Amino acid sequence: MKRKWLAPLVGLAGLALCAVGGVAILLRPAATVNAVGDLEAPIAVIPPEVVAFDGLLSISVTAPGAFDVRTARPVDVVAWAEDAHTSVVRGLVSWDDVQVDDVNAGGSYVADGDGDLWRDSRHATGETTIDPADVEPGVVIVLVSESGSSLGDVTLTLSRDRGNGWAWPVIAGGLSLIVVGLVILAAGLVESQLPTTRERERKGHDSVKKTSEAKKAKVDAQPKRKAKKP
Amino acid sequence: MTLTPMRAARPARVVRAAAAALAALSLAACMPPVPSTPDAPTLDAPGAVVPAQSDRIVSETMSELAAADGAKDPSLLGERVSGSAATTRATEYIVAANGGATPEVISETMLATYTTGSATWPRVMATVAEAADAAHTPVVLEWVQDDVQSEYQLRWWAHMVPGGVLPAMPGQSTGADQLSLDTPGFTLTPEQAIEDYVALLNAGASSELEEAFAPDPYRQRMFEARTALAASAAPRSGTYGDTVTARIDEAFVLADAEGGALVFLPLDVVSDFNVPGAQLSLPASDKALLQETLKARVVHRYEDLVVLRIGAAGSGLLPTVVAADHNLVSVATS
Repeated sequence: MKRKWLAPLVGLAGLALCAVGGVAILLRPAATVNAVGDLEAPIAVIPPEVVAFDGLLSISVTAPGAFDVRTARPVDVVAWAEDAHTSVVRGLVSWDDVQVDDVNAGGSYVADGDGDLWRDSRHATGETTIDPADVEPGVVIVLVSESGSSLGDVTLTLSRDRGNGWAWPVIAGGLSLIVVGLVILAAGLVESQLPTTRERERKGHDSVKKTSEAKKAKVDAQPKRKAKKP
Repeated sequence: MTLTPMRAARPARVVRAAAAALAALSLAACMPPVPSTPDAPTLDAPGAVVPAQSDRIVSETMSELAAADGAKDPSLLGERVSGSAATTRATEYIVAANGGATPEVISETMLATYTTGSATWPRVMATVAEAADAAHTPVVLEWVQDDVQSEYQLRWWAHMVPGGVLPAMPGQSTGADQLSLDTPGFTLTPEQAIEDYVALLNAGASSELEEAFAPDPYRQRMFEARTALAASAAPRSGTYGDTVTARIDEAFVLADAEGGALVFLPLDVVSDFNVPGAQLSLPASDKALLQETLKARVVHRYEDLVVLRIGAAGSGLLPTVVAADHNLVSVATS
């Protein structure tokens, strides 16, 4: 009776685990993600903590015209951009959106491309990609539009843990349970084809009875000897 | 037993609900959370000027200086060479054009570069250029960045005094602390050292401050010239005197790596030679600087840089001049 329910139960549990694991794999998020934010100011600042994002693969900046990509000490950038209209990249709002704060809207615009402030400086036009590995830890990336118009947008490309590393072990566990259920089911079927103990016992009793009766008949069939009188 | 339709629908709903729950569970389980912004990493090189920057500054400065030297044209200075350095060089061009010494070429090879870790302005950067030749000593050059928008400009230089030793300084990647003049922790504050040294220069070798500073050839030459010129003027009831004034606003102090400090001290020196009733004469090179008719009085003005080393409190080190130049910038009659 127990086996009759145990096999389906174990099998169903296995199927459920396989389903959970399978759905997790089918619905898994992309391994890389592009989060985008608008850079409305002619100057954008990407602080070192954003460059230090775990899994950050690249920073892409798209602008309608030419712009400079520079790096400097944070304390120097704070002083340099003190009154300037600046877009400050803060981090991620979601996997799709970059948080960008517009600071000093209506403020001044500082081009100053040749200052001694910059540890590194290069020109770009249209679009450029920055490899975080090429950026000295702790420095600020500063983007400066050459025309003074809005820069455009910034895209942070990140790799992420898909969060479904558990799925395959769960599927394996589910398959194991299905196999166990099948084994239980098969064992039950095999067992059902074999005589039960009672049947065996009954068959055994009948056999013994028949044997004794046969022996009795044999004995009866022998001629009775008369005892010799001494 | 026969199931009613209502009872048959119940398991189907349960299965659908279970499936939806499984899907939701799976989806929730496999969607990683949006990472929060990490803490900012610390700078590997917190100094205000890393080697790439200082190399660019030095290179552009020396190019400008070389162009001006080549043309003997001070108007080519001003972007990277300014202030007293430009004034001194302009004077040297005139002197050289009138039979005086040619301006010494300053080597582009820097033996050392000292920067600050300062977060405020003005900032200073100093280098030590190798000696131009065997007849000269290495030159300490001082650049100043006035504000965040400005470029570093070479403002002063001074040759190391023979035997002068610069202290160990913090590495360029770290930068030295740029100190205020009243910073304690030394044998005397930089401000006190400046006041005392200027007082000594004005008073002469007989000053009680003479023993408070290590001997140096800069003041020794000044005192010797003063003595000689005063002696020259005295027989005709003439006078000679030097007036030395510190440019306190342009002085900088960098902490060294030994607990002491280097004080970059610009000085104005006015040397007044006056012999009433006499007709003075000057060498052609000095006369070229004079815009007036020379009579009984001549005033030479100098813009000097003195680099003074002061020791850590308790070190017992006397304040010592390690570099100094006496730069003529003008000659006038008053």
